[in-house]
Amino acid sequence: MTQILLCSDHQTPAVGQHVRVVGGLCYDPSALASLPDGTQHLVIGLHRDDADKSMFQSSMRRIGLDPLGVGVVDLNGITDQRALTATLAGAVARTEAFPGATPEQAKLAPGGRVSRRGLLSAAAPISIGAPSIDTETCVADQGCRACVTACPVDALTWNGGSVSYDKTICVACGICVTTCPVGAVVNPTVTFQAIEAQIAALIGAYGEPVGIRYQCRGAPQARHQEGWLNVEVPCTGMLTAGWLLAPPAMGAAATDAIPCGESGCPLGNDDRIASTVADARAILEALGWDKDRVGRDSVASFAPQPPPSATGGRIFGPGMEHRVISRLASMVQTDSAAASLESTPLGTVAIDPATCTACRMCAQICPTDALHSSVTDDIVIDFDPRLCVACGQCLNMCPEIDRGAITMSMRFDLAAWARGRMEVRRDPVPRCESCGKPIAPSAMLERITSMLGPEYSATAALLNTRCLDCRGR
Amino acid sequence: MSASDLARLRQGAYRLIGAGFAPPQPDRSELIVGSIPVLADLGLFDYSFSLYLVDYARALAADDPGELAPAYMALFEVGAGGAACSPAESAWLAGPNSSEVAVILSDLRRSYLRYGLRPSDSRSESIDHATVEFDVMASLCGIEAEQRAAGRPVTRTVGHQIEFLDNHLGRWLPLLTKAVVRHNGHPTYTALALAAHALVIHDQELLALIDEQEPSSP
Repeated sequence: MTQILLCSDHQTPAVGQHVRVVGGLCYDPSALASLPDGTQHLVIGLHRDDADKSMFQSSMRRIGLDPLGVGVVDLNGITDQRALTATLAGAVARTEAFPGATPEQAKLAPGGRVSRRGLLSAAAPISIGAPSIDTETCVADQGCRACVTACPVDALTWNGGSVSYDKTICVACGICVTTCPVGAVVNPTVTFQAIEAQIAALIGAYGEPVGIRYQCRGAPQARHQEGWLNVEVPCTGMLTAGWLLAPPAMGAAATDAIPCGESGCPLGNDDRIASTVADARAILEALGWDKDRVGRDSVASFAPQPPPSATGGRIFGPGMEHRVISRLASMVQTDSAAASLESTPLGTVAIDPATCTACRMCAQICPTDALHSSVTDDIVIDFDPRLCVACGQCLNMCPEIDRGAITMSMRFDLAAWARGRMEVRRDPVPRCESCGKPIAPSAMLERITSMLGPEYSATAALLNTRCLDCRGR
Repeated sequence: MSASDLARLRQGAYRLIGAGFAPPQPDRSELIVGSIPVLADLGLFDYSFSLYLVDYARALAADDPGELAPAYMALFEVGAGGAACSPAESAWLAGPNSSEVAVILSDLRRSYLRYGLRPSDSRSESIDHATVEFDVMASLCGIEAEQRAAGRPVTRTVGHQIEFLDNHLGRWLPLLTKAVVRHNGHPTYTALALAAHALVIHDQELLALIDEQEPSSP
């Protein structure tokens, strides 16, 4: 059962059967103590941005609720009933999708901010959601270090096959969550499922085309504007093109992203946000949509527009860009669009048969199996562009990278996606004259032979005709 | 809440968990359950580990200590190949060589002496038992609380706490917790292990923040 508690300082709406309006709630959370037994989920609507968050968290814990799973929404500035209803519906949906948190996923934020000052001088610190890494899902052992590279504060460290995490450095911005290609990094307060549930509820409850505005948690005050509904995120730097494009794909009129700082993101993610927005706009344009449906802090420059009808199905999750773009394409019934991108994790890999030795290391390292290899009479490497997240591990691993054996470009191409998995390399594998076992790819043997030169022709001949086991016999 | 109160709260939380790892007795269970309101007055619910502590106290309150004893014994004391989840540091950090146990125990003894602590002669547990190690942390928090109340410097005491968690309790407790949860021998002890883990995880972060503002090393 989800309860909604609203402060009555500004409005006294009636938006559902489990709603209670409490005078002065912003300054006195004691009403939480009288919630009915069995309250599993709670949404609190406040009107004051100076409400003491630590006091609320303490009251939540007293009644057995984890504050990380309680939706606290700033309603100040929401003037119409429809926006209020939709905002609360969105908060309820997000709260009900809270997956629960482990002790590792709670981080102390002294004074209510992600700062390490004032712990002992301020009020009790509040807890915020922090990421944890599911080591069973993580593919760091395959070489992936996407989260380490993306972390703006170096809280994640690569240890040659595993990733270690320092919670005391982490600012819980969420970038690692959206960067991980396999969904191994989880922050319980900003999961794919919860954000999708919130956006779907916002759109559904509003009843008319509405814009979705991702707003940074650090913003001093939520900015409300008619025709727009807010979705709080830890940092707008965590947004990917997929996150920006998802609302239109779900039926929203437009998407906006507002960093918290007056002069940009205090974590220095402005370039990241700018390139993400540029990619999202390029994708929209290539698909034949109005690119102004996505912007950054640009609500004044465009008005929400009615979308083409949205189709169903889950789209948020690791590698969501492919799903979002495919849905946007189907909404405007196009199957031939392509665009080069700056930073969106959509890759297209090409292999040069003249320099590739078919060693297959690219396929073995690929964390998403976009590159895959098989060995029969030939070595075959195939590539599925729908799975590529442009992590670049194949480039890092290729021993012939200096000769241009493998290249990757960030782009999407609907025609290539429609073709699906395609063979990108085939090389025969000679058999051992003695035992019949495969020796090595012929391109690799040719490369070794050329490196040995004529001086070692006898060695080369042996390498080309005998497998490793039979060479010494 | 003052910094001294915070240290007192942490002292109480460590003492509570330490008592939980001791063999169950009716008066001990009552003491643990009864300490929650006392800790609440010290600001327990300001901190995320409170949820786990209360879960444990609730589970304990619903248990009959007589029925809890066999579960304790099976989980922490005896078993075909030893205890299923021995609550002792050396069981988790020492290798197969018995000399490694001695190294751990002598290191602990040196640490306790350096902190100005000496295990009571009346205690039957080994000095690396969870009850002792949680009590050590409780004692260090108590020293910190007194120092803060008297306006004396606490940097050395905070440094000892950080060192003890980093070198001892914080290293092996996660392993014990994982084992207890996996073993799922009794819900009360699963709740105890989770509460212990939540407290230690929280305290490591809290102490790092305190140390940043009041550096313990020159």
